[in-house]
Amino acid sequence: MPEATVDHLVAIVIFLAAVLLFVNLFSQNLQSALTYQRNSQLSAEASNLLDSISLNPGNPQNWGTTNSTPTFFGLQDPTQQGYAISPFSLMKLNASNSGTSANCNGIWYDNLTMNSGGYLFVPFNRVVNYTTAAGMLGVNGSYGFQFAITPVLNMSMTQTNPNPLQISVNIAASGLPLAGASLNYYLINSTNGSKYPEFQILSSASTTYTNATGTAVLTFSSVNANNCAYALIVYANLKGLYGVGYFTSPTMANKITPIVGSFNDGKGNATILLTQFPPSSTKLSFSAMFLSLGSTVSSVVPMSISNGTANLPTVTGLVNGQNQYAPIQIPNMNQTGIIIVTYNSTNTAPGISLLPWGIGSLGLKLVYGSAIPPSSNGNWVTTDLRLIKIASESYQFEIALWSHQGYQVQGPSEGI
Amino acid sequence: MMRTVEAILVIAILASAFAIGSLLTALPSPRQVSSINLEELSLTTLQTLDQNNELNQIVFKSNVAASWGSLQTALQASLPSNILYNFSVYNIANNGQYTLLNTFSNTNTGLGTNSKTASIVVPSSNITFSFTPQKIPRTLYILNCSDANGWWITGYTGQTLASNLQSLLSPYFNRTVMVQNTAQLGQILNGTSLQGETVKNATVINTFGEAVPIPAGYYSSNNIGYDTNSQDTYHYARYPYMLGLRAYQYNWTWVSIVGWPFYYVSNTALLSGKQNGWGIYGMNMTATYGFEAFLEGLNNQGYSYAQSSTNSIGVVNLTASALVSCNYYGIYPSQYQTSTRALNINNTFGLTATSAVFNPVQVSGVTWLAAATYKHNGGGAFTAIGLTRIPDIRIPALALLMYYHPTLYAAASTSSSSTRLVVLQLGLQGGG
Repeated sequence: MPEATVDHLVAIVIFLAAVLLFVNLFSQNLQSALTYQRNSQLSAEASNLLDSISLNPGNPQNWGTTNSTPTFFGLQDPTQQGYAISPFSLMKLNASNSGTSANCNGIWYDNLTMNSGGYLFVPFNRVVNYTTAAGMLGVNGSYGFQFAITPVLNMSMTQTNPNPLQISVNIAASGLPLAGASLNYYLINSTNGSKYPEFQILSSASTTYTNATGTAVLTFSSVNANNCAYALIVYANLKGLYGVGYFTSPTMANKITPIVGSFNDGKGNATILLTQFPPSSTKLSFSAMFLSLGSTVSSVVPMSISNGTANLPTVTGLVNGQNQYAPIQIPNMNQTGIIIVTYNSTNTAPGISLLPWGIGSLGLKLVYGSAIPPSSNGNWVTTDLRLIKIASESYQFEIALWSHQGYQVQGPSEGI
Repeated sequence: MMRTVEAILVIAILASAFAIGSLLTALPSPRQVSSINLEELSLTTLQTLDQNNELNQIVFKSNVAASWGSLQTALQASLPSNILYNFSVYNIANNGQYTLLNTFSNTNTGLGTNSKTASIVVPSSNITFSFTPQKIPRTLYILNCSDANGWWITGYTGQTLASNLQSLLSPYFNRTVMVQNTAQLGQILNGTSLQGETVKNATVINTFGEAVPIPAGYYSSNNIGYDTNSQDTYHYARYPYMLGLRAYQYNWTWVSIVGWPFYYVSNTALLSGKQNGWGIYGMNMTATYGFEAFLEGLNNQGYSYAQSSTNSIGVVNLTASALVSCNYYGIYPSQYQTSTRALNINNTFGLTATSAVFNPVQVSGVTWLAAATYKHNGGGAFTAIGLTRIPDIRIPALALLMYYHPTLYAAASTSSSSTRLVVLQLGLQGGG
């Protein structure tokens, strides 16, 4: 009798231990399968979201060129088809890679300033923030995302000799030098004039090609960088890949910075404010122009700008000092270009500032969205990628997506 | 003892079930769980490389190693460094047979079973298509008057524009008649055929820009070509009124190719001592009154001396339907133009704007059209191209083709080279 009892007890213990062990093993398999399903669903969601943003211009379609806020979020260029992103809608995003916000004359500006000499300040009341965009896309609260729009061609320039001016241009992509790329370029150099800065535009006489290390040296025999300010804008092309880069010199402490005042003044014009930022009490005279440039344009196309009274190819003026600005109007009709401001005073050397009208005009990189959660927290972040074009420049559009609700997000999210 | 043995048997059964279950529920590798959409990346890469027909130029140069080398560099530059690719070009013969022409890859070990592929078809640039256009059942009159001068046609003469318009538009019209002088213009204004053509329902293109030729009979006729009312500074504004009236009576479509319509009247013989204020002799100003008078005539109402208005709305872009028509008819003007003489006459004078060439622009709540055809509810129509000088005759041609929309019948297509299929296969490094 005791033997039978012991036998029963041993058998029950062994049986229960085995059941617990195998339930645990089965649940691990089941959990792996569920995780796979959820991550696959997140991956499909990322692809859908990327297409939803890049294949839809939003509503209204022209929200990038007006002061209006979209009622549906999309970035496709309404004048193009396929994966073509509006260079103007991108200007109206509250980018994550912005610099320190700027306060100018009491208005706060999103600061997407690039390298020295290139500026993009957009008033916060005109930009679309991440929460608003996520809400319009129907993912607010359920998913987080961040996208990066990066030029395919990474162009860098250095001045190698001031007189005659020589500039070395280097192009890389995916970490590799880009050999055999054709280069066309424009050099705007400015000197102190009697009243306003004087400038000239030199364009490439013939096409230059990068060598095996992705480098080309551009020489301007008539330009002495010691007594002028200049901006070099270079367009590169290799078998359908297009890129643009720029370089300005010198970097001035007292400078005129062009900032976006308004995207539409009711007459189809955008207003650009020329101001001293950071503020100073120095009086600076300026000459401003709006140039339509491009790798496929053989010559510079000056767009007319207005000083409020007349349409002119070049507007001159004076910014007296702190907290003052000079407004100019440029046509905002889906035409990309670069606003170039040359400036000087009687006691300072000339300087030059650029404002890209349309992301892509100066090869700007833009990151938009929420901060990607660290993987150490166990978050699964999926990414997807497309090659796109902005105006005529080649860009990579990469999106990262993660679930805000961990493993509790089931099935497709609403709105996408 | 037996119970323990039974329990061990149960464990064996459970272990077998787990082993079989695990075998059957083989999970994919982690790399497959959430990867980049390689299919879309492949397609967008091909589309990017085909910008400006760059691929077309390369894939038909099978033997030029430098071009293929540059393409390989561009492809490598386009893709992230962890992406493997295989790029292949196939020739598609006329019998449908595929032949591999060239291929290159950045791996020797294959792309794995999870690789994805996209392809595009690249047609040869040697393909030619010919079309037979449907004829518009109307006479096309092109003003080619040798005794008139133009304005705002800087760099051209009315005659050179007439010649270009004839070659561009005559295939689409039943009959094209060049109006060689103002006397012939007077004839058709009076309803007399020049070469046996049908005068009514015609289309009349004024190639003289802001000026319009005036025949002798109209020049000298009070209350027909001019009026003698001392209040009316620009007496010849009466002539555009008659032109509008004729357009209404004969159901003409009058085409103004650039600028402010009917701003001057021109006849180099009769107005030889008059100039337009800018040194061009042989014309007399009707100013803003001429266009208003034309609209009154087109509306078959009485003549009153009044000013018209236009607006300088700046850069305008082609409408979606204009872009479609550009592709359909093979006419490719610049998508962006500058309009300094846009009109807001829609729904006035019995006119309805149709076939807008450029997207309308709102200025202070008023809609302005840079170029469109305005159809009158009683008869006649007016095509106005309110762009700035210098005129681009492709725009009025496009406006007319959008208005009448003649069908193109494909007649033949020939090709000396076959079409090619470009395939891009992508895989992930280490992918299964």
